Amino acid sequence: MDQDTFARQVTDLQGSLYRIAASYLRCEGDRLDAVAEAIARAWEKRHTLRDERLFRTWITRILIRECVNIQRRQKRSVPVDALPEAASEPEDERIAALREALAQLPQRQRTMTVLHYMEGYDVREVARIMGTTKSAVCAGLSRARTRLRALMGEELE
Amino acid sequence: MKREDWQKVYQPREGALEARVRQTLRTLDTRTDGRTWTMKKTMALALAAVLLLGAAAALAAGLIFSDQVDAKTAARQALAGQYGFTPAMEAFFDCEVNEDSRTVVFTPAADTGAGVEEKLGVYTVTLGKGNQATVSWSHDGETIGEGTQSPVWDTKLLAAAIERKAAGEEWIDIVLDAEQTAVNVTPEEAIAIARRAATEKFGMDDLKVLEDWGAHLYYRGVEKAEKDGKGAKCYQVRFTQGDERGTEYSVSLYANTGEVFECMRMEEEQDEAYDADVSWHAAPGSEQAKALATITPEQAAQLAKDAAAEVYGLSPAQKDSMEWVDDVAPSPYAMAGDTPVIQIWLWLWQGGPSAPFAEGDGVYQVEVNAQTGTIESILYDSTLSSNG
Repeated sequence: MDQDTFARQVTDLQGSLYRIAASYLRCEGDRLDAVAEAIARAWEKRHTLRDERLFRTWITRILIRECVNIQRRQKRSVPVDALPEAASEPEDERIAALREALAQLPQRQRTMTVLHYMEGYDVREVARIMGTTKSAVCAGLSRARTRLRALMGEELE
Repeated sequence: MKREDWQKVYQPREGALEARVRQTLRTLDTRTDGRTWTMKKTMALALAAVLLLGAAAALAAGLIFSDQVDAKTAARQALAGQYGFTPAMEAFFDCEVNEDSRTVVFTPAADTGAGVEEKLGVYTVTLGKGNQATVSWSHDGETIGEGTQSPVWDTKLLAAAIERKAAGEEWIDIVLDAEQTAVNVTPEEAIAIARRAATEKFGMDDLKVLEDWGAHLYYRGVEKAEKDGKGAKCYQVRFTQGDERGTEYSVSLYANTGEVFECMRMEEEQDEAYDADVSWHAAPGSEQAKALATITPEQAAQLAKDAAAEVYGLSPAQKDSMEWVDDVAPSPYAMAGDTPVIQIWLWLWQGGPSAPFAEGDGVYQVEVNAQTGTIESILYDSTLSSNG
């Protein structure tokens, strides 16, 4: 893959990568670090990508690994609700409520939810990205939906 | 809720993401092209001579290892001496060698089926001159609990867990309290319970159990099972309507109590042919690598066996028992940056397919330089970190 193509694909995916990093990391700085490191590592490892059609899934897996690395390097544990997302302008209460509800989900459920509902990956792709089974993804999404419904008091679909 | 609304949940400060991505893309030019080690001068001269002499001479030069392989070998030895780290444990870690081959970091792999990456910590080895090495573990100084319920696993606990896995236990049983994993519901009972639940919820009276699924026993995530304490083993039963495999319905229930905790209509999945279509392709550059190669895949496979035996201390009998798996990809050739390589997968399972794990068993992935025969990289996966 040449550098121009790589840059174009990465730029198209940057928003998605940030949102997926947000399912792991609480502060914006860490999320940006994770995205940057994932891009750099993907460039270094581009020869391992067997099919450019799988670029999105492939770089997402690299990103998740970077997020986990950052989590482990952080020695201190910060409560989920201690660092609210910075909003520069008034936002929809529903969006804020969804963000708080997502923060209450276990890590894996939150990431599955982000990958599926936010980024549009289907169940098989989510399973491939997270290195788990389709059954586990279906179960995780179902439990996440139930929990989010209870926290937000409404159906989300 | 529309996807656009979902995406509003996580938004960076305006311009921050774009600026960071642009900055990162600008610095790509300063990075290496996929290799993180440098050639030693003496080795570079030796390889230049080998190239001139051609393929036969390349093989006659014997095993030559890249700096990366040497660094990982030295790091592994240092960890073995300090912490009791074994080759079987490598399956639980990703290993990165930094650019000057002086620092080797073993980070828990996030995609093992064991679900224990949180417990393992990060091992770091800094290689000095001669045989000097400084090793550290991110959990140094922390209290290690007794048994696999400990939140932190040193290599002693990991070794004990590996022993149990090798003996046939599943990870969910090893990590959780064994009392939580009882199976009191038979598959037939599970199907009956699931059918009742699906019929009640969806009003169907012609549901048919998928023949290739039955009452599938699986293990829930460790985190969730620990939280609700309901037992880690569950059945999933999938139905379809009548004789047509269209929309599917899935019911999951706890295998110890029969309580149904999920009953849903499954979203339609893509055609299974998609997998075959997108996964079975030769690596990029395989034709180019093949054109540049002076070594055949057969010769590379022999070099790979020799390298695996030397690096991992395998006996001649173990080396002879290794099987070259030559259908992992349509072509073994690939370009690693500017380097043509032949990718060799070796499988060793002493005692036969149904035998328990023995030291040395697993998969060895070796990249052999297709022109010089240099062992560019070698990975060993005992497969013990996976389920099943």
